[in-house]
Amino acid sequence: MPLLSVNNLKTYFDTRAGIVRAVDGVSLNVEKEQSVGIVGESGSGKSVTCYSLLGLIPMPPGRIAGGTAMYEGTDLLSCGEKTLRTIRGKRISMIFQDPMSSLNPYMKISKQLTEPLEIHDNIHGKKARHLAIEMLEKVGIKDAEKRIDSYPHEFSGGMRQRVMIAMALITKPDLLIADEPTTALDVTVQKQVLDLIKDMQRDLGTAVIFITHDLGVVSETCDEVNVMYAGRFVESTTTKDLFSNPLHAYTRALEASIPAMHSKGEDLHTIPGLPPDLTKPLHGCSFKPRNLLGDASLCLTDQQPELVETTPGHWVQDCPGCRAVRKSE
Amino acid sequence: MSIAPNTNKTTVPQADAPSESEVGTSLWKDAWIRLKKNRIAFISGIVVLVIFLTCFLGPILLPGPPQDGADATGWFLPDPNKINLDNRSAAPSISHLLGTDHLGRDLLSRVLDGGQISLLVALITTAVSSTIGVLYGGIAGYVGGRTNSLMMRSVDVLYALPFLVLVILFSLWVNTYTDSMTTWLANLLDTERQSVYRFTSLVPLFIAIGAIGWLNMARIVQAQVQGLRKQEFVEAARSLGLSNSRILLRHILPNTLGPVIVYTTLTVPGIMLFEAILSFLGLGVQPPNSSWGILIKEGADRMEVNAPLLIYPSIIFSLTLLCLNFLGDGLRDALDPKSAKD
Amino acid sequence: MFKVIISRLLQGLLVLFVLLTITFFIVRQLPGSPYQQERKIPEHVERVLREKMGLDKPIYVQYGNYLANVARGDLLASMKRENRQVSEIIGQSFPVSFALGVCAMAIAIGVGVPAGVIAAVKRNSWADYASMIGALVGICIPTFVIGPVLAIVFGVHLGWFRVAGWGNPGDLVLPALTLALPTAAYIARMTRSGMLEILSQDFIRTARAKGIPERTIITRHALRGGLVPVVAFIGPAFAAIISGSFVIETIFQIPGMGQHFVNAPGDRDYTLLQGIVLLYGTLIVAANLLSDLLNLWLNPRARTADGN
Repeated sequence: MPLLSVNNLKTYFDTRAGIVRAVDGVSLNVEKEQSVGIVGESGSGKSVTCYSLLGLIPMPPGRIAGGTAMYEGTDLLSCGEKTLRTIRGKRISMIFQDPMSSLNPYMKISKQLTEPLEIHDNIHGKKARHLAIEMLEKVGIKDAEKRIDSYPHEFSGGMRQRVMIAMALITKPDLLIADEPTTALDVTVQKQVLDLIKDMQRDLGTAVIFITHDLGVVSETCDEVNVMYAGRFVESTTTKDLFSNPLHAYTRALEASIPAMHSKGEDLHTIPGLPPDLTKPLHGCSFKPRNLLGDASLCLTDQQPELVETTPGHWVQDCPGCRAVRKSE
Repeated sequence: MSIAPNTNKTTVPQADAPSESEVGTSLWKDAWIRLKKNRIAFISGIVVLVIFLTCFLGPILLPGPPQDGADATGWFLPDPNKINLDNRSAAPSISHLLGTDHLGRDLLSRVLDGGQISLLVALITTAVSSTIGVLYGGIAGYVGGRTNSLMMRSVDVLYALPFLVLVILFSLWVNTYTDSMTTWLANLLDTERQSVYRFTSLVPLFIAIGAIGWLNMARIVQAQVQGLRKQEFVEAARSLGLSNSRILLRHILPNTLGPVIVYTTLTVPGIMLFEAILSFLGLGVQPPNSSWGILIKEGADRMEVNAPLLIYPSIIFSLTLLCLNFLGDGLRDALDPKSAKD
Repeated sequence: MFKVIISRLLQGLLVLFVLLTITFFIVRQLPGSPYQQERKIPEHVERVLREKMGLDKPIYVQYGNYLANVARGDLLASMKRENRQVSEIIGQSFPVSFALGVCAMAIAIGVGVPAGVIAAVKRNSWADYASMIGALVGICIPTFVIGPVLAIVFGVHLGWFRVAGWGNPGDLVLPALTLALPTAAYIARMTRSGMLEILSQDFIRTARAKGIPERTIITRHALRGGLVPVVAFIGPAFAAIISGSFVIETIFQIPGMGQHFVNAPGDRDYTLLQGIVLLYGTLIVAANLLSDLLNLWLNPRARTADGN
């Protein structure tokens, strides 16, 4: 039985411009100790997916329009705020994109680190502090005994993300959701933070959902990947499979735009245009207007493509235009 | 009362669009559309306009009673200062729509007359203080460096001084020159001293409140200009060889117009309130002039005998302040949508 | 951090010096003198009085002497009431104004902050609309309207309090309430927008993701930052309370500082006016200092950021 099983999740936002279908029928399984990636451009709905699971969507304007998310027999989407609160930060933790703004600037690190222990594990005072120092050392903060009494602004960006990771993992959760954990960091620091998350995952046996727009991050960290576009998954498979046998035109376009996968002098691929306006209901394939690597003329126009399993464990949206491979001239 | 509305909600306008004029039209058009959608602000604007026009045009369009037929029937606005001891504290009637006061003066006329002064003081003073503030803040922000920090430090020092105390001292001081100014102006315009004095007696107020009310505006404009100064279109203007004063006046300051308009709108009610407090204490507008503050004071003194004397001026005064505040908030939302908190 | 405090203190002293100088010279620019009023004083008497007060000396000498006296803590004698010291007059009326001001400030904060917090947390609820409409009323209806109305309702009709006068604790209720209202309104609006700003920050989302109950998020994570703009408003709020108190004291006939402040300029009572201005200046400088200190306490970033 998977640790977390999301089925047909739909999250809509009621805005003045209309209903935004930010997440429109997403299904996802996470096994124990597994790392799963969700990849897509900004605005594709990958963060909203995870926020929905933890009830962090501002409501209104947001609302969960449908679906279930079973975690150890509890449906996260319908269990109510009170139950959810005992899971958030204890069984499922989250780290965020911008470590600059995600830590409370008005509070000492020590207080922010021990807070989950106080709330969820009823550990207070010296003992909590001791555990916090231990955790800080584990995430590689030197001189933790002293630094624990600092404020967030006294740390660098990478260090703050380490603090965030320590804070998220201090209760030894089963699942960590990492929302673009390296995007706001310097390139040199990115790898360190990714390695740290992998190390911690191995040590604590935590499952991780990585949200990222960077396929490079996925290739390094994830066992399975879901490629998300316009509120839906267009392709889901193992990381290995995704890179060796990408089926959807969007996946291929993303891979073609990774600099590291090109030899010097070769042109990088860019995906033209913008993701579709999600306030308007989609009637056909959402990727049609930007489809350069497939055959846009074959894209579905009358119905939205459904996911089909092509080989065991490899799912792709069944749109002929997006699955077609353009012959290179 | 401090005349400082909440000013920490300003953002530097975006100037990343291709050309200045394009930013101008779309920004103002957008703002106008947003303002029209904001029903409360739009209605408030209309109410303010109506009050303003009534105060200034009413007495002109409906002048006093037709000759000696004093208090004859008919609908008109008698001279606000015409005392009629036979008709004291009269109830509202056709000839006195809001009744009369303890000296038999028509209350409606007095409210409109007081409104003229209150609005005049508020508008002129706001104009004075906004001009000083924009220029001071603009220069400080544009020059930058030490001059900037020195100029803004001085603002900090002045800001920490008690506003009311300074205004009173300042107006007392300017007051000493009022007399000679009145004579000079009367000679110049070849009119009665008395009619000139109606205006000149207000000058100390204009100057005093204006001289001290510019501090906030200076801060806002300085922050804006500092942000704009580093942007490419200023570099471009400089590379074309334009003079500093021209760059500041033609290229930078127009871009601060949004926040300046918003803050000006929010300053007007602050100054009206301040003028009313001064007048209430007998330190502001002096008889024979009246203002809403003076009317309210007189009304408060006779509240138990003749409540309307307090009620009507208070209502129109508060209504004006309320509408100006709504209008200012609406303008802020329209011109600075990023700071809007619906 | 100490650097910040020291620099604020020095700035405060500078403010007082500037204020005193402006006052000194403006007051002496005014036409007339303390002795040219209704009661005509024989010329030789006036000359003696002027000599006694040092008014016969050049103005810069007077200025120097005055500064020296102030530095020694001597505010000199009143020029109008020759037999009374300025410090004595102030000592008599100031406690009255102070009690009124402190009560009003306490009410303003006690009402304004919770109202603003509730409005922000329950945004767009009836509680939000009610407190914000209340705040607008507080801002737009001047105290000199509200004061008399309260006096009529609670004093005359209900008879709960005396309409005017000073002596028993009940006399403090109506004036303090009236005086507090506009400031409470400003504080409520500021608290609301400050809290809304903070509640939209990323770290609040982090706190929610940690499973912290909403109430704790507000009290422990949001309030501190939400109060920063309110704390910055303490100085101006205090100045507003002072100018408001002049009006309130007039309405409710309270024997505080207001009467002296209103009368002293007309009386050309140089020393009394200077004394009052100095006192209020000191109070406002102190309020600004308090607001700076509170900001340092609330906002850890200010402790290091402002050091240079």
